[in-house]
Amino acid sequence: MSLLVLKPGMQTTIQGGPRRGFRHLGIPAAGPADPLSLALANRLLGNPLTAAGLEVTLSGVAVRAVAPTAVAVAGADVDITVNGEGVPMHASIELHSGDELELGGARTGVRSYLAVLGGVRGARVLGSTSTYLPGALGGLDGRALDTGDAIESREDAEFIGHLNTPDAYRPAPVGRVALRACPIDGDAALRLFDTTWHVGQRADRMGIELRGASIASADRGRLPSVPVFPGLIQCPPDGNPFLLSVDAQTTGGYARLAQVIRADRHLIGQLRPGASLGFIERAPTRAEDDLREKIAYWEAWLPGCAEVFR
Amino acid sequence: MTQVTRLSDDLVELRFPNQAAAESAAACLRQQRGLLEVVTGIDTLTVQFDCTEVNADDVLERVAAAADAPPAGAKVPDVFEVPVCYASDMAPDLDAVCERLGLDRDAFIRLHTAGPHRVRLIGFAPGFAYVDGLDARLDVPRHARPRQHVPAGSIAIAGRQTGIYSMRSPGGWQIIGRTPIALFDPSQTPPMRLAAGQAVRFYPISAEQFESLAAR
Repeated sequence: MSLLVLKPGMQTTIQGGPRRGFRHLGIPAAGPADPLSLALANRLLGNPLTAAGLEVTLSGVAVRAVAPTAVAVAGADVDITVNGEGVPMHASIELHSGDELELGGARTGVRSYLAVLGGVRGARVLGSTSTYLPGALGGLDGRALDTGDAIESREDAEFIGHLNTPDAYRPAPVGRVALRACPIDGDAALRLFDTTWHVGQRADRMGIELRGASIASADRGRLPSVPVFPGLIQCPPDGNPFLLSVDAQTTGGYARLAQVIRADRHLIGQLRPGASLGFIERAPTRAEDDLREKIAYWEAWLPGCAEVFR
Repeated sequence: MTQVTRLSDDLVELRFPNQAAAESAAACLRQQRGLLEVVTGIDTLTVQFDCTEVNADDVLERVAAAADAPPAGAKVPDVFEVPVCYASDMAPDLDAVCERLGLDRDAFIRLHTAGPHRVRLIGFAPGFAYVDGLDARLDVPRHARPRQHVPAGSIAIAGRQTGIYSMRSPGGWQIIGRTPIALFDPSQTPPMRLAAGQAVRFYPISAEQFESLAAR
């Protein structure tokens, strides 16, 4: 064991690589809602970019090191202390046995990621240790962490020395976000691209309710179900679009407006109720170029980052 | 004719004249390398791929070729019996559905348990089964606003289908009963007790029978 949970926060889960290839059985990929931030935290410890870490949601958490280890935090903007002394995000943090690490509540963004040297161990279910809460799969008994839980990590990993993330690679979650998306229902999508949206109160790992305009569609709740994926903006008959995230269902019968491109899906995980949101139209071939540009930028600090933007 | 649409940088959708053709193409594509997900809908199939690893034009060619693949041999599975408790506390929408349809509760249960049903696909959530064969007289739309939590085992209807929520999840269908049997178990191979094509029969049970079956 390397960490003991003292304060679990409102929803802290083990998240690592996605669960791939089971959507046809109704099982979504899960994994971190903001995989770029988990990769940035892992990078500071020399872990594989998709090694499992802790996804911390909005509220603060506290853990005690039970054995010497190292950790790093990226994602939503939080205060970090070790035994009450402030330490920075985007930097590796060595912990001695008995040290208490505390993360405060998120000031901007939603999810901060705590990477642990060697990566966090979890139950491997259908090829992934990522937690899927609705199905109680993976992670620690498929659930969110609780007080007294033991966080296990690989013990043979060695500390690679102190590292900081270069300034150019520290994405600060902001209150205004633009997501690039490919239109599916052209007429209804026009309204989507023309409107400034706000993230509604209903915002979790399944998806995010958008507020700002009501979009009329031909759907009266009777469309045949089709496969759906994270990044889809669908529109129930009540007219309020819903943006799907990492734990989204695998099929759906509501009208489809547009699909957020792969390069921008990591941003969905930091959308906070009240945040302002716009959509920019992209053709699928242009979206490929957007992805290549994004990978080319991040590759300099995160070698092999293509797998992060899946 | 199969219609191929590229939805985004990583998604291609195919529309088929019927579900058997979609399932047959899906079986062919699941054996190929380089595709992240192959998922069928009611009469569609969507492939997710990584354009940094495989060329998009190659994927479009491959899915078009798979669409022309000969259909796989048809299996004829036994009928899977699903006990359903239609008691009010397990069927929050049943009264409103009956009122909308102009049926009493017994007539509704008779119609829902009468016909032969067949699993169209597993999707939406682990173990969620879309089941065909709902009597045309029971056609109601989904809720305009989905519920955030539908209890595991809920049996629901929308359009001309029955849906089985085998685990707790959000959902917008009209809940008309609940089954005590667990249909999804990730420790089993395969994790799903139902599969597309499976014949299903619903039969009514009392709240007492529900408790005793759930305790097994």
